[in-house]
Amino acid sequence: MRSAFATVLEPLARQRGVLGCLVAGEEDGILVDAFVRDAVDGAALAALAAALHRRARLASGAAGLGGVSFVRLDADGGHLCVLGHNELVLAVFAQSGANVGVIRSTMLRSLEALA
Amino acid sequence: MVDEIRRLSEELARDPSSPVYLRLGEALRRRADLEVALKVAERGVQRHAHSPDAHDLLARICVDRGVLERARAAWETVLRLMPGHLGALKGLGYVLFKQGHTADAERMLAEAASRDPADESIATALAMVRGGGNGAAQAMSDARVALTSGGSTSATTSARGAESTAAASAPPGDTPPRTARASSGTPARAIPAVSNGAAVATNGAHRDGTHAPAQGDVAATLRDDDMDEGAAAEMSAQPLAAAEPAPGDARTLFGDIVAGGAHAVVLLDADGLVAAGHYPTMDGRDASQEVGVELSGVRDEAQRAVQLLGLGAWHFVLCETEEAAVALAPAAGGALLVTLSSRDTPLGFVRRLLERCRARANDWLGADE
Repeated sequence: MRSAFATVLEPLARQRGVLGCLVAGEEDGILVDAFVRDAVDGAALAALAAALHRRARLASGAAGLGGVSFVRLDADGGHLCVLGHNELVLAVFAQSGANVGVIRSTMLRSLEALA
Repeated sequence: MVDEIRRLSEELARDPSSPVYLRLGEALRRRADLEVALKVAERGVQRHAHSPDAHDLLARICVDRGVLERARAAWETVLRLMPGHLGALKGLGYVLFKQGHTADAERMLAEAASRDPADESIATALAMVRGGGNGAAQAMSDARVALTSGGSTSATTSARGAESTAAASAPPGDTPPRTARASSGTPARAIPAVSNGAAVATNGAHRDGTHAPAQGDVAATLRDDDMDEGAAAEMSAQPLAAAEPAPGDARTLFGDIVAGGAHAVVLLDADGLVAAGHYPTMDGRDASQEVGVELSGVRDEAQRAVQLLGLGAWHFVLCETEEAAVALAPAAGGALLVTLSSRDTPLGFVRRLLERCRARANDWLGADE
């Protein structure tokens, strides 16, 4: 059965280099919906992406920098991009070499669908 | 009470940078108008990010709303800004206990007790935590007001304890000089002062082109999201040279890289202390330590994520916030590099800036060792 977030996740999952994309609760890191490759642990990815976004949001607020609109973690093994809206986070995990600019644009276009 | 709130609200509307938000937020909290109180406190934290009182107010409101995790984060910030802050120690003692971290709660309350042995509310709470058992949770809930709000409704709170806790929520005029100085004067927006023009473009005029209301209620004040044009012009005209460090100062390590741009760079050592760079605020203060410490928490989360996902080493974290593009990267010897750029800086440029600063930092740290 297609979830309400399928229209958000499908365009992201089609992007080159994307290994997984998901929607999770920001507060508890619980997975809501996901498209992930077999090798990717969706539940763990959801928890870590939510924690990263929550920490960035709280730190930004405490530092007087306002809310956080987008967070990107870049590492040897790939990229983790997260944005939050309405107590949910949308996260994309992509391998190194993926076009992060395109992924970011697609994620930002999906923002309203997280309402 | 309503008249007082109206008066404070009008005062805040006339001068959005005024520390009167502390009294307004507290008055709204006591009236259980928690949603509006929260907005007042959040606005206060945004404008006075380095004021322990601002974060303390936010924490107390969050506790009243039952949002313990956020209250905890706010009180942890208070302790970073002002180690030994009694209200934060007591509040964290309560929150940690409620979250099941009994040992940490005991440690907080013990430190609070050592700082104010005469406060019976602390001693009572400490005894409850150490005593444990089924009754402890209920007893701590009963003690919540005494520990987290500065009130004196708990039966166990002595007159001395009430005075002590009331001091934690005293009006701004009664706060210690350090806080009063941090909260007064020109708004200290956490935007690199070198980005003066960009900051005005971002924060100066109202989005709808209106001015701040001369009078109005709390809601009107809250809708006044930005400073008025006069304040923006005043800020843009402010001399900033006084905040510029002298050549040769470690704060100028990245000066030539960021020269002429809307950026600030801070290098934190492995202990979280500022090693180089600086972050001048609009009022000319150097907020490197406060901002750096807040943002360094993101590093811990990044490290955890790459470890658990098996991603190897992390290269950088880029956060787009309402006010700035913030980038963090590890540097030699466990140091952390933080760059802050105005919101309209292209993200690719932010990354290049980060790499250049990291190379500079690593050279400097290598030479320094």
